[in-house]
Amino acid sequence: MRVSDEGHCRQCLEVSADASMDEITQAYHRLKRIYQDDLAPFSAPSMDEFSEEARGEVLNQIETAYRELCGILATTQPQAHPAPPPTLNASLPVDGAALRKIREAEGLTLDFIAAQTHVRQEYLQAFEEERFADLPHAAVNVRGFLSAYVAEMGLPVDAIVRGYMARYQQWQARQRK
Amino acid sequence: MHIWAVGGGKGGTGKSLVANGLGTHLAERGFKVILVDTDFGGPNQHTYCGIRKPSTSLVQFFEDRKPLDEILLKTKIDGLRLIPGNFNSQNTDCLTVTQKQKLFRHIKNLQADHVILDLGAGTQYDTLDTFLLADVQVAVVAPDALATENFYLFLKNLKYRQLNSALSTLGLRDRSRELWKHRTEFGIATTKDLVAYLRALSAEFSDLFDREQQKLKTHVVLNQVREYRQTEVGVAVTSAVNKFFHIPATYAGHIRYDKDLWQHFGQDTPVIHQGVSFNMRQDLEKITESILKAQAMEVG
Ligand SMILES: Nc1ncnc2c1ncn2[C@@H]1O[C@H](COP(=O)(O)OP(=O)(O)O)[C@@H](O)[C@H]1O
Ligand SMILES: [Mg+2]
Repeated sequence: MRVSDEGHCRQCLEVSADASMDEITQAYHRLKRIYQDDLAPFSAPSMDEFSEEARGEVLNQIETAYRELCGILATTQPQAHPAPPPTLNASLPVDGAALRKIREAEGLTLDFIAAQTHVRQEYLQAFEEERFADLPHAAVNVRGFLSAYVAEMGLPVDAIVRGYMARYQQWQARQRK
Repeated sequence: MHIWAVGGGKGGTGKSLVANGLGTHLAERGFKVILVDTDFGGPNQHTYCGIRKPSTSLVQFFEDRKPLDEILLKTKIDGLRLIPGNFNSQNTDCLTVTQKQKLFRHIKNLQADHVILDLGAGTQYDTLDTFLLADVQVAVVAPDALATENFYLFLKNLKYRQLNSALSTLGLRDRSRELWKHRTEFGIATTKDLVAYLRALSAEFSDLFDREQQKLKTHVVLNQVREYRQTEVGVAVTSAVNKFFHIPATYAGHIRYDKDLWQHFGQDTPVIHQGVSFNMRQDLEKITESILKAQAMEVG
């Protein structure tokens, strides 16, 4: 009886039978984010299926399933801290370390990126380690190379390069002093 | 043998690209694969395969009664062959039911591990029926409102098609039309209500419709991803298909947009092959593996 309840709740939250409480919490926040937003890019407001009532009903199901799973799993697993909702925007990488993490997660090597972008591997590595002194001397090249790298990975160029260049310029200012 | 169908409603989302990528990767993995261009209105799988002027086409199957075996073309990829679509012929986008069934019968008898059907756009009965016939149903969507809207409509029409075919089989089509026409009298507001009413009316219908519905189970592919944050659209669309349309769907993954892809068309080499667009190959491989895993078709 309990098992099938749990299975049903997991199905509702779209997680596998062995997903941990942390993963369940993440899925819960993601689904809430998806169904709360009327203007979500996946939505088709012209279709009845996406009516406010339908969304409300799904949100209720998600809420109930999450509460039930918390209850069921509290007895078998230590209560996890609810993880913060991992919004993609907020988790978008801005620093070198994050760029590297994404690159590695995509299974891309530095020499591959170097070949694709024609940016020297030493520079790519310096970007990832934020060793600003080892980057090309002209800021325009730094910006150009970084944009090529970020674009190659299919990441939003403007946002990331803006953030990165701000840090680079702060470093430049400190050098000049 | 497994029959795959790649559909998804809107034209230009990348159905042909995905069909080709699946075929290429399966062939490179050692399977015998046949791509069939079933986009009767706008065939172009041969161009993806790097065959500029196919020497055969499905016209020969339909008009000259040639067996499919004889119109199979080799590609430059080992293990990957193609049955080119209908071109140089008029009115082939409207096949009769008999013709269509004949084609399916012959497809089922092909000698291959995987047969991949590249479907046309839209929600014509032809296209819907072909999709429903496949063991592996792959639906392609792009991260924009136009593509998603048509994508949902495609899936919704698949459901209607299943409903109507169950009704026709049991001779309930007219009864159902009458019910719908006078729906307020019967307290019916939505299709869901209608189905509930019909289920109560006929246990036979209820069983048959359940069995029909089990034939629909789709893998969702998100194509033309230009920004990282768009990847969430794939997850969201898949979730909506499950939750709003009650169609079992699993997310197979995304394919990044490749701004140089167009340059690889019109040559004598397959568009997706070693050395060309690394990102795209990698994405297509991931998707193929993910579908194989979901279908539990892994070979040791
Ligand atoms: N990921 C992608 N990157 C770049 N171009 C793409 C991508 N996917 C599709 N295209 C292009 O979009 C067009 C439509 O793709 P196609 O596979 O023919 O779609 P469909 O078969 O759904 O009509 C083609 O010109 C194709 O080259
Ligand atoms: Mg096509």
